[in-house]
Amino acid sequence: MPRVSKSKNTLTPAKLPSTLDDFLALSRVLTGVQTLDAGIAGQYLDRLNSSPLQPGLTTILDRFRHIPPGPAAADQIKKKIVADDELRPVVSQIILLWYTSAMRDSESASLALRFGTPEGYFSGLVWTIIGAHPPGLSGGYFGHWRYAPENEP
Amino acid sequence: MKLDFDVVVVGAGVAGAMVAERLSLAGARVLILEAGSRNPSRTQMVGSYAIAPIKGLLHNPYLNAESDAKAPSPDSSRSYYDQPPAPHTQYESTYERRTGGSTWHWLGHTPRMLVSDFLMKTRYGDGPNFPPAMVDWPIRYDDLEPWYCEAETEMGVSGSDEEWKEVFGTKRSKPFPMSMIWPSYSDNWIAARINGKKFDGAEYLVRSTPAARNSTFYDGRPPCAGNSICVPLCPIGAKYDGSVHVGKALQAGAVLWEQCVVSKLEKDADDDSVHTVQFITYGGEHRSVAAAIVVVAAHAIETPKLLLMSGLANSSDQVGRNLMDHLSKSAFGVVGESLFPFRGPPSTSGIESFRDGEFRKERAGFRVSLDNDGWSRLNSPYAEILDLVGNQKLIGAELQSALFERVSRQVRLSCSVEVAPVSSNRVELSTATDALGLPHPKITFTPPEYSYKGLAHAVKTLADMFRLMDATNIQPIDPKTYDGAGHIMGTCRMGENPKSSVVDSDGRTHDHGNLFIVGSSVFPTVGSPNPTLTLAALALRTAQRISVQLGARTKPRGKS
Repeated sequence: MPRVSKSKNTLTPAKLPSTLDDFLALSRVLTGVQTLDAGIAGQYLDRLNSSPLQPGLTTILDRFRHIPPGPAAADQIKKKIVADDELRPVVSQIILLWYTSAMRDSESASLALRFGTPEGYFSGLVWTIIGAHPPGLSGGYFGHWRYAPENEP
Repeated sequence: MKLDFDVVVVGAGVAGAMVAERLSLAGARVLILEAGSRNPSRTQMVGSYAIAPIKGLLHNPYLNAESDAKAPSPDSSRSYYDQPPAPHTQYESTYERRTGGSTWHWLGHTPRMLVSDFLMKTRYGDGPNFPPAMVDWPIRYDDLEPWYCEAETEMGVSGSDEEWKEVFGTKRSKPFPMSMIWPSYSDNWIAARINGKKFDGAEYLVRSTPAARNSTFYDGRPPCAGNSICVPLCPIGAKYDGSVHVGKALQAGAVLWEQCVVSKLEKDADDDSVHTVQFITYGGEHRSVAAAIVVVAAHAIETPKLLLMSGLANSSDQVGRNLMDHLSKSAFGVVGESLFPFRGPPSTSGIESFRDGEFRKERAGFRVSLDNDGWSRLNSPYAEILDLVGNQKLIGAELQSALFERVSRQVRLSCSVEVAPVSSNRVELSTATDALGLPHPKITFTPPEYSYKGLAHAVKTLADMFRLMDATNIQPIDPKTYDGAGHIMGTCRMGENPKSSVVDSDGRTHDHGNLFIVGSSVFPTVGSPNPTLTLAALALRTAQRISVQLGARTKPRGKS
């Protein structure tokens, strides 16, 4: 299973990079996956910024920029961002995007999902995490389902 | 009368396409009229599936604005069926109107009917509450057995000869065309825990389910790669669908006119023959063609609808009656170790043990399926992600571990319960009309007590299986509710007596010697297996009878 790398986040508050880089760096911590696609990140950022979650995302990125990189960064993100009841729905949405490419329609009481592009859907991270593959794109040969997956965590 | 074709086939699904191919090979000039179209393409639909909001909704990838307006279906519009609203019981199964038919979104399972399924009245008819419309078929399993073998070859069925050597006295005369679709990791784990155990006198035995999915390269199509979305769409064509035989029919010389909605069959003025087929194009043009033989292959709802619109083949008053399905039900549980769902075909194994027995004097038989799709029908893994982040505040590696623990142990089991024929469960013509002015089907459907009793028993069986697996978090299930199985059957029942049935054992309407019906509408009773293999076998048999009837008109071009 991919683990969080502690050396990737080299941001300092004094030297603010682009929002996309911040979003990618934050997303690595939230998803626990280091190899995130920058093109898909751009799609997700656009979708979040054009949703009612945009103000929450701005707050999250502001707070993230003030968290020093290093071994304690993940804990700080948990305390200052994930633990915040106002911001956690945005955190859930960021992770849901990376894991499945879906955005939840927050106005709907039931679980109504909206997907973006086919490449986003087929890049969903959750399928590997649960030992499977994106539905519709197994990448495997006949009969592989008879065995435990090779990427079993 | 000038005849434009030897045969007109209404409907380009599996039954119509097989008939068209066989008769074309026999030398007949065949026209297929299809209400839908072949668009969107398979490749386009895979992309549509990926961005569809609800992955389980059958019609999502098949959206086609023009076809959905001019040839609507219950897949394209929830209001297409005119049926009394809930709490009245609903008919839950739907279909596509599309070249290749609803096999585009079938699962591909092809168990045969049992010897007993053809003999329900003879074997079990003395039960005190045995459904009065539950009759014997006019043919027996042995009559259909060679045609089952042909249908398996045509569709490309994978199965285990060893496991299916004999099931309730039902034997096979030929091996499966391909070796079985391999059981999943989960199937084998469950089998190790339940095989040999008994419930209510029957012994659990997990068998691989025969399926029209390739287990090797066959008929120019690739082996199944376990893409897990047979429903609603095989991305690579490893699963058989009706478009395979549409292609073969065209290759054999048949002509296909798409986007032509048949509106009426017309009887000749001087005798009972039916030669003229009227249809409407999407552009609104009214046209007709005439043929020596007319074959209606528009499945169990559009077929009776067309006959009722035409006022034909109904001297028995049986057209549209005895609409059936299977009552389907899922149960969900979590087991103590990872079984890795969300891989392989959605289902690869099942249990046949409850399909037959003396109990069928009073309640329906059923099949059990072991499913490989976890709790996807309960929004997994989307709901789990939102819960673990939103409520448990997990991120990163902790989130990944928790997700794996939760999802990889999910199990779904399901059952498919026989529905007995009931005369009042029927298709009629609605006063509501579509864009071409043709009536919607009016549906009345209430499962009989015989089937509800079977459903209650099936639900108890699924619970017992979960008990044997030491499963937890079992989702409570109400034995009074059901899902549709997508198995639309009945409505033009086959029988020897013209007063109580619509077609004879050859599929020829009793009232009109040159009007034939193929498809699951002719089933007098249904047992519990998925119907497509049986309807394909019957269609091939009917094609042979039509070929004989056409006789000197045709000159064989190839295999027949």
